[in-house]
Amino acid sequence: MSKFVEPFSPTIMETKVSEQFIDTVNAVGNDVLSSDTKSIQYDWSHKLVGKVSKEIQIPIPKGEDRQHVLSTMRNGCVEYLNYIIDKNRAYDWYKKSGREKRPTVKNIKIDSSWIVSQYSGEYNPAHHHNGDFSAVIYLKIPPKMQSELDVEFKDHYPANGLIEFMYGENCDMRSDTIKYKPEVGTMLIFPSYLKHFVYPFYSEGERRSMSFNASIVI
Amino acid sequence: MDQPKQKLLVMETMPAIKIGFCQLMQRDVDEINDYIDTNSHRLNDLSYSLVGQIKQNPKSAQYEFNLDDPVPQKMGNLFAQLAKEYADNHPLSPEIRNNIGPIEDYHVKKMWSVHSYAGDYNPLHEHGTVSGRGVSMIVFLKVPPQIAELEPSYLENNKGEKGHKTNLQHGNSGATDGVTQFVWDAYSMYDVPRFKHSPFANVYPQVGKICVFPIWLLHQVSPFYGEGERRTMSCNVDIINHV
Repeated sequence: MSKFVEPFSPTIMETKVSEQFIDTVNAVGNDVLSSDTKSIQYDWSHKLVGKVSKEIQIPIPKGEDRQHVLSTMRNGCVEYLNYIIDKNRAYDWYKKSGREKRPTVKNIKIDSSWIVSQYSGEYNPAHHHNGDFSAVIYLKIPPKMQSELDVEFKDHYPANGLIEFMYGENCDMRSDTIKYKPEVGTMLIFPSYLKHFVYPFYSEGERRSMSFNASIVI
Repeated sequence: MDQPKQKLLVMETMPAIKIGFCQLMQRDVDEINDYIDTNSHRLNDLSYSLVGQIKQNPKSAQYEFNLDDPVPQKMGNLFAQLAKEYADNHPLSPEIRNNIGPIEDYHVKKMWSVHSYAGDYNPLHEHGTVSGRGVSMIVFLKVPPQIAELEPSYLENNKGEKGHKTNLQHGNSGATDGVTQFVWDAYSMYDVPRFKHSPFANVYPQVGKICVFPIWLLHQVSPFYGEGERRTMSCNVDIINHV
């Protein structure tokens, strides 16, 4: 009986966030993005590489909704880290905590989070993030984008509106890139060093996503 | 121990990648453009095989050159020479270089043009050759002014208050609009204070600029905005493997 081992590539965790999460972040996003004054006040674009007209911080008021959002982000990172520990690849965690201890949400510090409000033709060139974990969560997809994607996926090389991750270079019998189609509620958690791109789309309306960076703390 | 007044280290560079550059004469650029404009009606449409998302304008197109035509033949000779020069500049032992082969083994197998307009882009990709060996090139044939001015503004004005380079890619600057971006290797912010080199290289389009790179090197072209055609041609130079 043969055994196949695939120990080398970085891991991406795919999961879903709750309706409460989406509604909370969208409500704050709507409030900031619809106001020129607040869009400037909470502007985060100077920290980001995107050719995107509005990238803002997310000033969620203190309360249960804020706790739910933070808890979702931290729990996602804990789940990710536990998986990596099971894979025997959590080197920084072992160094900080030893091999026996398991992480809790107290070990996850959210360093920054922001909303990317993207419209037709806007894009993100290759970049990576800071910290240990990074994530993208899809909050809004333009109504006509699905039909654009349906056409796009009949193409030999679909790309419009997708996020693409890359690691290493092309070699035979291994993968070096992966693309994801944005779907509302999907959260992807990945190591912050994983380079990625967001390709433009051409439908009317807003493609809204949220990202965050998080670090392990002891 | 007293601090030495003179520097003690001699630094040597061990490059991860090399990109070669060459400048084509304007008359050669004109000749290629004229060849495309005159013959586009009979050249193969490559839109269904290349990764480029080149379709936002009725004039958006990707044409395969006929390698039997005089202009592609002439350019092919130049590109084979550039590929050989690229190979000769690679740090290889004489035995391995001999094994790779003489210039007679360098063959242009495919040559094509990309006619991009506002919104067109190329997602991340690498090139390929039949032998799996070789070198690729991009030649910039037409560059809209809003893209051409990025290089001087990026290189000359890219200074912060203390003279340090700032990252003009931030802040919705458009510093990468229409720019060819090469990407390789893994890298994180933790790598900055442990002195790993950044794995990004932006090549700014200028008319006549030729960029020579190894076929495996991943690259992408971001969309641009406004009027004008961004026209490039590319080719893959295969190095025949006799083994």
